[in-house]
Amino acid sequence: MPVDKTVFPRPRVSLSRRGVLAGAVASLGLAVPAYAERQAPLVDAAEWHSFRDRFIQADGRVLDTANGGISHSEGQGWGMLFAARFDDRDSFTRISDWRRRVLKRSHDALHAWRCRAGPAEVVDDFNNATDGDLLIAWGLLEAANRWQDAALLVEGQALAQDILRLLVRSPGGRTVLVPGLRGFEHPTYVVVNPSYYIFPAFQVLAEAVPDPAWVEIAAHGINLLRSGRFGRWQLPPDWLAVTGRAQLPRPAPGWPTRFSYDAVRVPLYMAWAGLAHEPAVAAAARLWSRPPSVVMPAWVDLVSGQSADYPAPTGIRAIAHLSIAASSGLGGLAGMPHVADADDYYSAALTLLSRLAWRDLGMPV
Amino acid sequence: MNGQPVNPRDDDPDRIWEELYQPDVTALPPTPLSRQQKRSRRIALSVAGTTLSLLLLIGGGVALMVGSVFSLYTAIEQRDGAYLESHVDWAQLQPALRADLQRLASQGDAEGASSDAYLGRLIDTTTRAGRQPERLADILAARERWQANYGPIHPGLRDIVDSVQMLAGLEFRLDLIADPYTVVSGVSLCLRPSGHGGPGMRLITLGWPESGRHC
Repeated sequence: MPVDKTVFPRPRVSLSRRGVLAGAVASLGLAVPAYAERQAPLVDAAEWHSFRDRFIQADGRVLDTANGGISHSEGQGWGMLFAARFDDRDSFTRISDWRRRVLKRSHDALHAWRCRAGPAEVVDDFNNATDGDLLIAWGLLEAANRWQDAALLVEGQALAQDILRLLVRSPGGRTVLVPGLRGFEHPTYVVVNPSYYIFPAFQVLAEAVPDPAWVEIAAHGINLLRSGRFGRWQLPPDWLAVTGRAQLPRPAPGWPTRFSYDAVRVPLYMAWAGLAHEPAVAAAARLWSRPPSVVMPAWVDLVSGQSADYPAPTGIRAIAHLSIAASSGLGGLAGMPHVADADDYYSAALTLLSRLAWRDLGMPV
Repeated sequence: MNGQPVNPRDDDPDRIWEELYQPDVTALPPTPLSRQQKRSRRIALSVAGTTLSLLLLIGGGVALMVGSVFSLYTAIEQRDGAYLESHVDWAQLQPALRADLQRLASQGDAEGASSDAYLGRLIDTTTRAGRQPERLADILAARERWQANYGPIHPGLRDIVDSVQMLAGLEFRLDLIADPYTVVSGVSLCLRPSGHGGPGMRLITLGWPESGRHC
């Protein structure tokens, strides 16, 4: 099966001299917040083991097998989240240690987004990816709760605070998360990746760092995903250009105008957060609910209407199953693909995420 | 010559002048003040006294406020839960914070059944977590570094603000010398003189500076 999950190039930047993180974060005597309602469903442990054994090295490095074996903050973040959810502390420690040693930036709490493939562990782009940082913070905070580890809490809080400090912009009065520190702000618009709005993570991060900004980001993000939908299927593109509240967002210039491997995570994260009845989820469910005789495409172009001539991989089918079930009540967990069915890291991760979301939502098994 | 010794000072013009001219040092009798002069003097004294009193009052008030806020900030920094419990009016803080967050959510134009439920949970989470003194400290620390959303400062208090800000890391806004004293940091701490427990102040709301919310 052709795999064209593109790792979109982030602008190359050198590490800027930023202010050193002030030592004002809680350091002593902290009570680890209770995320009792998010304790891991351990029933899918075999799914986790399948992911761990295929894509995580002994040193904790998560390999993106569809992109030549590079590693990135997204993969480490998902790995940390999975390990915490499945009570696998040894794996969590290895994944997190590798993340801290290789990807952690020295002048703030964010992470370089990409490490080149190969044993040399060369970080060739120090720009961050906001979704990766959100996932790492989420994983740290879940782990802090599960194992009552104050050090993990402090690290997660510092990262959440720097996400707010460094990655929030207000173009034209619309509060947005930029996809990375560098390269997404233009004179007349800001580029946003809708799939970086990890709505279930906002709940966890807001509990650790109860800043009003989370509410603002989430509310504006929901609105952005209502107005930023295009084409026959009225779906969000992988990349949006945002000007202000007075103007509608549009597909970002210079990027493919597709609902594709990035944007498929929009219905996943929205459904996971209980937002299954939002238009973006319903639209994706419609695309994916066509008769069995129609092949589910890997992507659709929102301008030309063209579809991929090859089927959606396992991970997208898992999200489709979740989205349809969450928005219409149809289907059971039995129809959900398995991690072992996935061809590559990305597809396997999306499958495991969809299963976690299914359990968190208390949907029928 | 008559044989008398010659006084070498006989030719000293200063001495001659001093001997010839003896000024009358008797003081002139005081001239009675006119009624208008007396009235002006009384007014001047009164104005001076009032000004001095006011200055002392203002200075005392500002000193009291600065001291109280510094104590509050120290308590937050040190996570002195007991101090905060006695000086923070959580009963008023919670609904005030929730109302501010609700307003923020509505500004996003994200109304809808499921989004209202999601944002409601997010607001509840934020409000509940903000109840804890250590979380309050984290918010302040983060917002201080973020350097965002600071409110305006009364120009006359800039120097005080700067010095206190240096000490305490907070930024002040005093709209009036009388209460309510409004202290604005990144999360807009609004303080009023404590109704009990001495000179401390009570944290009554925690919100967003640009909301225009006042104590």
